[in-house]
Amino acid sequence: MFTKNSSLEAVDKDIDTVIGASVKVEGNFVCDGNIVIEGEVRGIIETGGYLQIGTNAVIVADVQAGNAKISGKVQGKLIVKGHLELTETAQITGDIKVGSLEIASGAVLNGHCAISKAHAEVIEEEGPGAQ
Amino acid sequence: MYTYIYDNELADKKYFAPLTKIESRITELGLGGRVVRMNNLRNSRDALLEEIRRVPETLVVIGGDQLMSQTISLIGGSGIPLGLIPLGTGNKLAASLGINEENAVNVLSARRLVQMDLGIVDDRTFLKKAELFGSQLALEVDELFVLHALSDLSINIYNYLAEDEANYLPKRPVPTSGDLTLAMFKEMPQGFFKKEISREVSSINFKHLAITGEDVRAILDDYVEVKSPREVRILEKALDVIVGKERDF
Repeated sequence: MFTKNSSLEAVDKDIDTVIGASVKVEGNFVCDGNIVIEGEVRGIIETGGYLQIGTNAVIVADVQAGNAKISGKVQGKLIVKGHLELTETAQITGDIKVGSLEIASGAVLNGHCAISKAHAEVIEEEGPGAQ
Repeated sequence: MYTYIYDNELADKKYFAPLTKIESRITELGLGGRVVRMNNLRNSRDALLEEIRRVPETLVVIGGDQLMSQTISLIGGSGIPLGLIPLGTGNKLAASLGINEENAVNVLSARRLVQMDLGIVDDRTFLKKAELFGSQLALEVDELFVLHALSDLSINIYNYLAEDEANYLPKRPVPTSGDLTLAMFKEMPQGFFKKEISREVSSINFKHLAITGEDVRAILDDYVEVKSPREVRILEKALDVIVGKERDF
């Protein structure tokens, strides 16, 4: 019998928390470390680490993360201190504030966007090797 | 004084020779103590509770995983060190702890104690995992957020997953991490012959889980059933276990 973990395919990070497509989260989803979300989250998402939101994920929440890659739907305010990547399937409805931003052709962004270099510098100082 | 709990399976004459060898080694190393033999006529839970109430210097299970699991479900938090001498059927746990029939008495003598976390479902503790069953389950994690299953999922709560067991989680749970891991699986057969299983996994570390739902029950470490469980939490460093050098955590 062959087995594979469909939730973690194509993720090269050290993942701590995974929300699969068959799970819905309601409330203050506050976690340490890196998070992958393929399901539904309503409320608040907070992590100081990396956040990946999959193609079929539905997020109705204010989101804060260290770095993020978004391929699904997000409705809410988005604050990413470091780098935010929006892939071609991303659909964002809400204001975003990021350190740096990468948007693929086809991504949808409805909201104000603020890119602050200060955010990125803070992340670099707090990065590996920082005292 | 050491107290040795003998599995009822060991009454079978095929275990006479290996048991005699173990007992001789125990005597040689000066580890003798009180012997309590389980049997089919005796309620093993009551017998174990009676021995735990005596507060032995060390409680040693001679037998398999089932008796060990039952003992762990009762001894957690008591402060009584627990040893294991594997004999009979079902000894996966002993192997994970670095103990086998050959080295077990020497391991006991070396007395290498490790403080392990336990999970607790209501008032019953478990070492490895709790399987959760029920319908319309809502699981509140650390009083922060609630998880709902949107389809039929297998739900396991892990404290410890041995190295040689299948692991579909991003990180293997070990009993010294200070967290439990909630794992929710959906298995999806794939391919022409449906031989390939794709697993959708959800995995969250937590310290406290409140459970609501209908017809809820939990099976702890494959053997102990808890009806209508209301909460799961971690008991950090709650169990002193005598382990071998080759343990897998």
